[in-house]
Amino acid sequence: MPPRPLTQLTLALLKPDLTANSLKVSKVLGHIQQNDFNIVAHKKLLWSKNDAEAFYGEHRGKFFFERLCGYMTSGHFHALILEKPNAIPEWRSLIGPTHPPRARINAPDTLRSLYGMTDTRNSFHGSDAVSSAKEEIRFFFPEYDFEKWEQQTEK
Amino acid sequence: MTLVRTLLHKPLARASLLRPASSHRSQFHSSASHAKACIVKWGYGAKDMHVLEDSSIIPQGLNKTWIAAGASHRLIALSGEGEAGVLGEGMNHSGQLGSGVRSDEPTFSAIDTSGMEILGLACGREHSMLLTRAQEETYDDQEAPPTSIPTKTILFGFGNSMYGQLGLGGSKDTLSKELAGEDVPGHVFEPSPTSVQLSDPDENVIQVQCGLDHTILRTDQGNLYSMGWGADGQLGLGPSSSSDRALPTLIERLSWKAGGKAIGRVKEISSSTDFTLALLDNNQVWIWGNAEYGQCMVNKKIDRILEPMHIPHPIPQSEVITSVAAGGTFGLLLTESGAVYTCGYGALGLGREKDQILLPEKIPSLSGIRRIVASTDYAAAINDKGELYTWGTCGKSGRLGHGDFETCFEPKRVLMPQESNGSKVIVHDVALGQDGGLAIVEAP
Repeated sequence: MPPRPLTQLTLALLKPDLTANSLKVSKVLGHIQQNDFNIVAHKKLLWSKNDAEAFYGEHRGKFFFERLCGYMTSGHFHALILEKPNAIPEWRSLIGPTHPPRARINAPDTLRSLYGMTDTRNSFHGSDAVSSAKEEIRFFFPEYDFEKWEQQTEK
Repeated sequence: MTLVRTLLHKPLARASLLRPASSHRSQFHSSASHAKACIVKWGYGAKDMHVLEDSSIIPQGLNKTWIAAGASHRLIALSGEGEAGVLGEGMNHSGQLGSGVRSDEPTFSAIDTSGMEILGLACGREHSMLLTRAQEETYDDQEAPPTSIPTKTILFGFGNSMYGQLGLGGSKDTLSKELAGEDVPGHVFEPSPTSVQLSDPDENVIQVQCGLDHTILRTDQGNLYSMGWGADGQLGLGPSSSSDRALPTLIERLSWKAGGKAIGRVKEISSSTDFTLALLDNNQVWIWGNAEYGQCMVNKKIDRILEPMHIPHPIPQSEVITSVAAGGTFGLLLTESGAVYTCGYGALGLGREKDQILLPEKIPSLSGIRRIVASTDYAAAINDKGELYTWGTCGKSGRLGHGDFETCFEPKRVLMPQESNGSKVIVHDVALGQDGGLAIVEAP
């Protein structure tokens, strides 16, 4: 028997422009299930300016910081913990390149091509590494017992 | 017409309309009324097109005057004997259909506009603008005001104002107060058409355009105003201003009130996504907002343009620019000769190999064009025979109306359902939303 692939957690966001359209949210949740992600936790939230600036603090001073925070405070959005072997790269590969207008030409089957709007309103987020996934899950789901999950998966 | 009558249950504040004069019609963007025409809809995840009259969404025989499409909602202005209304269709999460209620599922609605002439409709991502004035027939007595007095227009906004894009005073900054039950200047989610006020009550809005999350107004006094999201310079308020505004705010650079008369009078604005193109009566073209794909037509990319910037005549001197259209990552120019020029990024109409240019190039396959329309990453043109062409990226939306989900790097003729039996049709107007379009189509 081949060894069981190591499962992984990642933090996914369905951003405000997508969340505003309940039909599209249903379709995206369908993509998540069809691609064998297990939804470990799921919540809908609305950010204040302070919340957005805390999460995106590393980008402060960059030209897109203002518009990123403006966008992420423009409406409710979904945060999900997704679980799957290689969840981090698999989710990032499913959502596709950062810029939807480029994705529609170069990666037409990705979620950002299908549901993304503009460079700023790019509709999705995915953690980029194991360490950031852990930090981001803690940020959005402070109540989630990450250590317990780690112990269970190591058995 | 019973359907429209039953749908029309939200009368607007007609009492606030002043007496209109009989002239000044020409200052408005032209809109014809088409009784024999139908509304054709396409996209939104489907490959085929629909005639809305065939599925009794719209009764037969009504005049269609205006169409507009947002990210997931559409508005259609209709009129018949003794009644008039704006039919709304699609998502209504923020009240963007103007029916007085919000709903999370797609729905239909109608706004009663009886006694009003509609001068414009515009849809943003989740907000809507309706420009009206009292119908002239209502005031045909001998004491009508002299024609030198401008016609009083009323602008209504409804839907989402998280960024302040409705211009009613409310935004995400006032949302927590509103939710706590405190008095706020305007609702952040406004499902009822609500009148947008300029500081000078004698000034009249004559054109309204929506980007995804901002709104631009043009007035009869040569001024431009903006409201909504400003982070990319969408509001054009100046080099030190990129904040959002929840009330109409003067775009000083191009407004006569602030010295813009020396530059010229803006005769057309086109706004979509996150930028605006303005065409002046001296044929100058100006731009502000996001230009990170080089849609500013000055041979470079500019992340954001915070104050309106003049684009030196970017096409051959012999060509006179008669219309402009702002797409998401590109801009279009229409010339008196019927040629279309494009600049920026995407499926530009110039073929697969040319998806990024920084100076406008003529789309070789288009000629005799009389109208151009652009949206986020795709575009449409109507020629003098009433034929519709579209091009751009597609995703799985079907928004190009070609019966498939293919991206089109060159303009392709859109075949209307009425043409399936060989009939000749005339496309009078087209509106492009995020995922699909609408057209006013006349069939014999």
